[in-house]
Amino acid sequence: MVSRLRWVAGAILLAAIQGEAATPERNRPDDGMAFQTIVDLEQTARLIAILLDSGRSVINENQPLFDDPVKVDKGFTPDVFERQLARMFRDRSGLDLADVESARIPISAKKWLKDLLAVSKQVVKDAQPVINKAAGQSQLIPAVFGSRVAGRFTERTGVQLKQTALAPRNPANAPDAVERSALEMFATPDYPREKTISEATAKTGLVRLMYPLYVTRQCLDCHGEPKGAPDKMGYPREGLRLGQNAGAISVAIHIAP
Amino acid sequence: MKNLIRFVIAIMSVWTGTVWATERPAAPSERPSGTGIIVHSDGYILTAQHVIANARRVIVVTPGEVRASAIVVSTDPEHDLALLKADTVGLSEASLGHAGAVRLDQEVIAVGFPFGLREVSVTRGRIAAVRTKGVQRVFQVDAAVNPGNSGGPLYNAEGEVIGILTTKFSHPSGIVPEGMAFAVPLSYATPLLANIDGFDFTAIGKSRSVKKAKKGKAADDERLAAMLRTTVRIETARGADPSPTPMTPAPAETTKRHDPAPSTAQGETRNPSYRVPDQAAVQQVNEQLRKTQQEQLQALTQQGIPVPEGMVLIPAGEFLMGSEDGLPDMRPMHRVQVSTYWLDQHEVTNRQYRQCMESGGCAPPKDHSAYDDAARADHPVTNVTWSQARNYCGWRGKRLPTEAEWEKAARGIDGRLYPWGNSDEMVKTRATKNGTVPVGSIEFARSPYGVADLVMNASEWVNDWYAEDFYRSSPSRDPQGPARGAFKVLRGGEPSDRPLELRASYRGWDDMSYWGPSVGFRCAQDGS
Repeated sequence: MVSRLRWVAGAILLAAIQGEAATPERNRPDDGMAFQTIVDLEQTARLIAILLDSGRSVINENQPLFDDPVKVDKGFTPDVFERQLARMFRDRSGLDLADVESARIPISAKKWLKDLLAVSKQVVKDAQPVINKAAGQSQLIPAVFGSRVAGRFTERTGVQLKQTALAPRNPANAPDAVERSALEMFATPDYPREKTISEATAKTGLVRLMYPLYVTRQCLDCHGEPKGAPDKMGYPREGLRLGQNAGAISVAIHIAP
Repeated sequence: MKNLIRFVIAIMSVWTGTVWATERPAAPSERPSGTGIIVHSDGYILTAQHVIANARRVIVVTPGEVRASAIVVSTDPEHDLALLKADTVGLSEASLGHAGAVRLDQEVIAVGFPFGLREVSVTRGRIAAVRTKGVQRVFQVDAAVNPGNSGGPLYNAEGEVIGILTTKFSHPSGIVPEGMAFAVPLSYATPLLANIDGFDFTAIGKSRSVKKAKKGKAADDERLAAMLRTTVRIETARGADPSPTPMTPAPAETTKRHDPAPSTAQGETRNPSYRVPDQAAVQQVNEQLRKTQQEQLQALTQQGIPVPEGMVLIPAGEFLMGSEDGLPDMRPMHRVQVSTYWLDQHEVTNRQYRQCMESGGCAPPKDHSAYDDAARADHPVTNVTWSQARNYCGWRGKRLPTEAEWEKAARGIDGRLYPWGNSDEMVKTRATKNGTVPVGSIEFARSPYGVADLVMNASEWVNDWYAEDFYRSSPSRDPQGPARGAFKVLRGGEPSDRPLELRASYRGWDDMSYWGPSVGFRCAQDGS
């Protein structure tokens, strides 16, 4: 009775994220990927997207510091960045980056979150000369940080990670067909906020997840009104409005052979 | 029974595709609506929620054309699932399988009743994909499944139910292409099945190990017969009825309290009698609220319970939250029960925040020009992030208020638009439109409970995560907001020319790391 109660309670709590546990004897290697594994990879992809977006937010939050015309040593070391990132990520995902090993998340997520954290810190480390430049505006903005981290992460892990939008500034971020259809869905005004879209198809052998991004007040400095006027990087502003969907983080994981 | 066997044999001979037999028009009052699956011999049927949505009456037709009326035990509109209880016993139960073990590209079988037809159809296909959109997750099946199959079972090759067919999932392309169907994984039905007294969850996935030795045509036939024995047709009567016979909700329905009973039209039930109150009515409510508040304060004093300094008591009770005619995230207007709580009468000021800083409990505001200005000591502290606000309240032994607590304090119980009533004109009366003012200095904006500056001064961080659609599934008692999110809610409009943003129901939000010259907060505390 006790074991059944636990089963019921566990299933109610976890049904939405975990589905059911597959018993080992059902894993026949000659078949396709099990639903449970797909759900795990989806959760992994989601956490990767949240960590990348948390990194972007930390960079965004520190723009006034980077832009400080007087201060030379900004003190934004990889360790300072890591602390801020860990706090942001914990608030948004409920997970402690320092202790992912004991978290109740898929093994794939544990490995890749560590990789993504290492890559993110490396990017901040490499950007120290730019951050500590006395005069002028910061060149380390969320989009630049995001694409550097995504590129290195993909190189390191084989997991495709990318920032994309319907009208991206960087042509390398242009969406493919799957990304485009998700972006179009995110862009409809009645699409529920923050709901990810994902798929795993037998044909492609990929688990793909799209994590929507929204315009916050700090985005408006560069992407808001007046439309067309150049921002601090010299790009024309998009005239985005607060709360509008502003693109997505795209994650694609190969289903292991 | 003999008919059934003959029918099964008929199917066997044309096994490859969809099979149906003689057509018979439905009785005029009842419409063939969909398909369901018997999950317990005492008449429990699992189907899709949209099959029985808005139904006045539900009839389950079991194999052998036995008709039984059914009640809705519980529904899960989010996953498009419903559990029915038909007024009958001794039914054959379907074997249920592990959805978690379903594999991409595996063979599946859909069984159901095409619209307008009495006979069952059997369609074979494969799992082509798993698709997820928010909380909805489905198996995509590449099989031409008839819409009437909706709510019907999807079986694995071993004859175990692994999903319930749904039409409620929108394909990324906008329309579902021909030859494609979606099924809700059976694992999502677990909370519904838990409503069945004594349901044996340990039996899920068991039948396969028992039967797996059986191979060959005879075993296949046996499995197919079992599938047909456990699949039922569902008919419903919909629409308005001068003398409605409401379905008796079983006690178990409390598991999904927010879902209006299918017998009632959606939307109207939440708040049938709401009218915007006029100013005289507003005054009356104000007097009533203050009276209750005073009585409770007196009672506390008599018990020797001290009043927390600078805080206002908001007595327990129901209020109307949200709005029908504002922005989508304010909808629907719904009743919320809030327990007794204390709320700071004023926003936290620069002076108060300084005490926390000096004691080492708080970090400086992100921009401290306003904070450093001695002339602004009694202005609300601004340029603070959500975490800074939370820290301050924690330092005080308090907490941030919930969205519901904030809104109840701002508008009382009668659904008014602003703290002062419903006049848009008042919005224009504040002289300065720029920046903050000393707390409590805008007399007319005081709320019915006497809380100051809920609108018109700084906007305020509250504890909840933001979700645009939260009100559609909000619990009706002390809601705490969604469990997760990316943005925190900011309540209370700063002065502007946009009356909509000054409404008590207006919901702002931003990154928890956001700070700005108009962003402040106040704290709350549980009542005894």
